[in-house]
Amino acid sequence: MTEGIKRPDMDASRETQESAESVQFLKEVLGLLKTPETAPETEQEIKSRRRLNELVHRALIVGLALSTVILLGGLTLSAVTRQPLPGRVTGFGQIVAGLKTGSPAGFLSLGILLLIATPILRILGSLIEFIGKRDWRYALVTILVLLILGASFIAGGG
Amino acid sequence: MLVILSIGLLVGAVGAMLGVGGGILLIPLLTAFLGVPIKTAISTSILCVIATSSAAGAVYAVRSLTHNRLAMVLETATTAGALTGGITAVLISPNLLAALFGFVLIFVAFSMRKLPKEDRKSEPTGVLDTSYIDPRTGETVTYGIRCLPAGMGASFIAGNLSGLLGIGGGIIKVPMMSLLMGVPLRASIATSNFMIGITAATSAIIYYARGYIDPTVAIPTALGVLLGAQIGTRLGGRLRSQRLKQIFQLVLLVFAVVMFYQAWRG
Repeated sequence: MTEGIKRPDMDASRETQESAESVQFLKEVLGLLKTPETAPETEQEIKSRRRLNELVHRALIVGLALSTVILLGGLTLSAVTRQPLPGRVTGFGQIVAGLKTGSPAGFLSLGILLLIATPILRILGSLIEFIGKRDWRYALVTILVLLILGASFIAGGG
Repeated sequence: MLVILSIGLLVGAVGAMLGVGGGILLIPLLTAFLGVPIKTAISTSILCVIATSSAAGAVYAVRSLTHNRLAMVLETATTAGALTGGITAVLISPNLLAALFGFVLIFVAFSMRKLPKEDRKSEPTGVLDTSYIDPRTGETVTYGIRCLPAGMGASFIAGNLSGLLGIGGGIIKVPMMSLLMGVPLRASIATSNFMIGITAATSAIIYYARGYIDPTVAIPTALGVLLGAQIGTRLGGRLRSQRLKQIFQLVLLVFAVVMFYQAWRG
């Protein structure tokens, strides 16, 4: 019985030590991360996090709905004007031109781009959260993720 | 077009019922039955992954289950993996991609057998401690992270496979977090979903810019998957039926053979 109680405690302390070593290692690798404060969130912090999550929730729905509507609009346009659907998306620069002339390709490309951009809203949501908490370390990590996304833009030759 | 739409519907519904992403089903179906080039199929799949991630994320965001800090730290590894994977996918031969996909299908079929029934015990560790309210019990669960460096490595591989083959990679991330890192299963699923969308966006940008996205394939598929996922969720969430899972595993193995055949035939 006593053993049963003791063992998890021992496991826990060993685990904590392992994790502490892991963090030490990561600190050396990234030079960015430290063990964050473990103090529980205040009532107000929880509330503001809730509000932000609510906002992200709405942004995701709006992003999805908007891209769906634009995609359906593009499909309808192509059916009505009997312009064939494009076999490729247009370049970033040609989208605006496509929208002006009312070509389905412009709408379809815009809809797809919006779809791709929707998850990025969640990163921005996290960035706002970290800055709001003055948690600069994680704000930096978030910016790093955004930079990698930017790098893919360059890698694509866009 | 209607055929593609119905494939999307089917994949979305089955994916939602079994709790797996659509990519592993979508790519073999598109390439084998419709003759879609594999790189077009991969870029189509990655768009569907983004769509389902955003749709599911809208649900998870309100429940505050996502561990944002952990997600962001692991994101640096998954997006870097997706970036290199996306570039590699554009450059290497379609045959090699098909063969790699076959191996991943076999891996998924076998890893499905032992989905975690119980999480590793979750408790505060002093590393990235966080808490959430369990929606079933109403209790506040507090937990911390273990084995962060190993998790970073696994995340890079998951991101790499995602960028290379157009799959979400939840099949790697969820067990990694719940079994290795001590994240409760519910929080693992929500956090993995968050990461998947951003990882997929990274390689989707590359596919978009390189012109691999074919609207005639991608749009009906994405719309179908979104609608199908809604139907699948209503039909009964995660079916735990052992029989269904076995059938699914068999399908995956058949698909693996199909992908190897494509790789060999060229």
